[in-house]
Amino acid sequence: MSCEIDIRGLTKRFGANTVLDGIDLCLQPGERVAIIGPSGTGKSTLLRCLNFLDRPDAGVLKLGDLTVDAAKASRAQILALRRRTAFVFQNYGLFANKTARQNLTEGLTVVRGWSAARAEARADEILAQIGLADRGDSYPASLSGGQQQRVGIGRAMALDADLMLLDEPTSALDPEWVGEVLDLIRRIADGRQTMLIVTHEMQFAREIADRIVFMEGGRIVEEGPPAQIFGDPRDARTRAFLRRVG
Amino acid sequence: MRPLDLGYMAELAPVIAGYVPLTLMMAVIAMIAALVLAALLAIVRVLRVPVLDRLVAVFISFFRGTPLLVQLFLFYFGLPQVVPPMTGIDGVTAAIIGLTLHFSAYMAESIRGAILGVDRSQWEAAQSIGMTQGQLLRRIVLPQATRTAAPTLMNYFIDMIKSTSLAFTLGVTEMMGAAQKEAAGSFMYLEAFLVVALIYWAIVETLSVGQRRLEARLGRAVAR
Amino acid sequence: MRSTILATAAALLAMAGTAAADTIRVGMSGGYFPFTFTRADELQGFEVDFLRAVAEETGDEVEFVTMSFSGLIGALEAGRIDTVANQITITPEREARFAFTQPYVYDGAQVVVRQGNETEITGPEDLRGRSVAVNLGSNYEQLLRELPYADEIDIRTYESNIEQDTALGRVDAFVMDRVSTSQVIEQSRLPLVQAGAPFSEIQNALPFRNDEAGQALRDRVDAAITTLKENGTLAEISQRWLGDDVTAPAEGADAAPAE
Repeated sequence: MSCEIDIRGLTKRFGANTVLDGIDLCLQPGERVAIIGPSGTGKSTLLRCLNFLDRPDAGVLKLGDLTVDAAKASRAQILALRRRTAFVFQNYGLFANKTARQNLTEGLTVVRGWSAARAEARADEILAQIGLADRGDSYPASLSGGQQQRVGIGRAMALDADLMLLDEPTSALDPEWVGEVLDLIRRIADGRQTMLIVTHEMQFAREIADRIVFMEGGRIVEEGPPAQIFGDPRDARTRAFLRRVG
Repeated sequence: MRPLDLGYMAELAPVIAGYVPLTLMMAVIAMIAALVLAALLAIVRVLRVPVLDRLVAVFISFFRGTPLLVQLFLFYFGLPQVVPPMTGIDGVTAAIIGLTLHFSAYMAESIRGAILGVDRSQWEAAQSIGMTQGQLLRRIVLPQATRTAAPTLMNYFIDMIKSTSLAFTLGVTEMMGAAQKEAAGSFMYLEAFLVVALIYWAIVETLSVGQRRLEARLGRAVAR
Repeated sequence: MRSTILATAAALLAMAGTAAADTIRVGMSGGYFPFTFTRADELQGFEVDFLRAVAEETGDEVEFVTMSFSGLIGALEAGRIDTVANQITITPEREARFAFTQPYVYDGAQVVVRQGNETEITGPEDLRGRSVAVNLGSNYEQLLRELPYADEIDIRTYESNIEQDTALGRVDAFVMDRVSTSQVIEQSRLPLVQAGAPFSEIQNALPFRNDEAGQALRDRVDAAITTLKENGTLAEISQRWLGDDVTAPAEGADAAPAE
């Protein structure tokens, strides 16, 4: 079975602390994988290492025909990797000096070299999909938390990336906005976008993911289909975690 | 107490006002140069560029840690003793260079603070969509940092306009120098210096009005 | 701008190679009545007329550069000007550094006080326990410090406007050359009077850089001063601005002539 996205031996240390300890992970095209596990076990760091927001110390990343050796990745390789991935941040990370529409077009015109007209047409399409067709000219400061995160997700959608990385996309939201954001992610998942999502919403993970990965202490402890992980976890640590989060 | 000689002030005002273009020319050129230099210095500091970062830290520390007058004297009278070709730099040029270096050090620190004030997640978001360092600085970070730093930078510009009066020590007759020389002949110090003060005040007030308008406009972009 | 700077630098270097300068750059404060000051933006005074007469004799152009008094000596040393025409008094320290012409003004140090104080302060000996203003970088500070009771005098150095501060009562007196104090008192509306007689004979001359080119220029200017003294031009300039001829040694003066 060939992997569309193949991660081998990914390792990240902060000083003496090993946060990722040789992660191996393979994603099929269109596969939706949710990562769960206790706080501080390297889930977010794993996502951040995949597009070099944190620079991994070792490991090999393969995206389609692009292969990057983390230990000696060149600037060009890092940019190429980032251009094939899209990242959704916990704190949205919207450009405060750009309107909602400009947040969506920025990557297309500046990075991909699209014409302004083409990028705007694409942005308007996405604004409609995320339910913000009438807020394209609003600046982030005038949007609600839920709306901001939908723009953040829209920005990732616009890039049409091989892999979408979502880092706890609802954990900074007030409870009232969580539903609309989960709905949007669910719709994207339904479109068979290859995605890796770190989340604390167990029910949601179970619902949208093809596969659940349980991490602890910088390692993958156990992975498998949602029914198996949630219904019949094999490792004691997985069972203990799932009992805690109820 | 003698009355204020308004007639003399009216005579003197056009003479002193004749030096306004020189004052503004020095301040505007120095401000533009200082802005560019300060932005570069700030970027070197923020990105922690190896080696350069240390040099810039020393540069900023020196130019903030010594009086402008001392720097001007060092540059204009001191250095030519060891580097004779520097004698060819005239007073106006020397004053502009001195003002640029001095104020760029201050401005670099406020720009650096403003850059660091841009939420870290915006840097990461720009990186994550594949922007280069230059693109993210130019399109995302610097526009926001400029807005944050604008009031402070404007104050430095006002300060700079007033600091041009030091150019007289380098042989550049500007407004203050002209007033001193006129007062020496007339002994009407009060009138002469009052005229200078009023002209400086008028310039700065005009700028302040512009500053308020500019800030209102910049502020609108992110208004709720 | 950079190319202008380089071009100017190159031109100056080339010029330094030749002994003669076509333009004599004369530094002055522009703030010392009646020697150098402006009216309606026009630079004038004793020094201005004197240097113009000198340049006419030597056949050079003259360019006046005005700057704060405290910057003048530095500008001379840095080669930014060729001489200083600002009633520079010959002192041993300065003679060691600069090539002076013959004196063109013979004068004395004069104490000046606010009107009404002249009965209390009648000369330098009454300056004990008083505050006295002098111009920064002038040699009057030195003269005061050489008085046997110098440590009892509160000497304050000023960048400018010492007359004004004395008139305002911020200091008890100021010390300057006698000639300009007469002019200041006569021309200004300030309530000032001379206190007693001049207390030290001083000689003013033009300093040049003590190098080959400077000495050559000094020699040329010195010859011109001799001519101006002989043909009466210098005395006439002195009468015009100072109402008196101060360009020859006073009768019975015992000061040694300048080198």
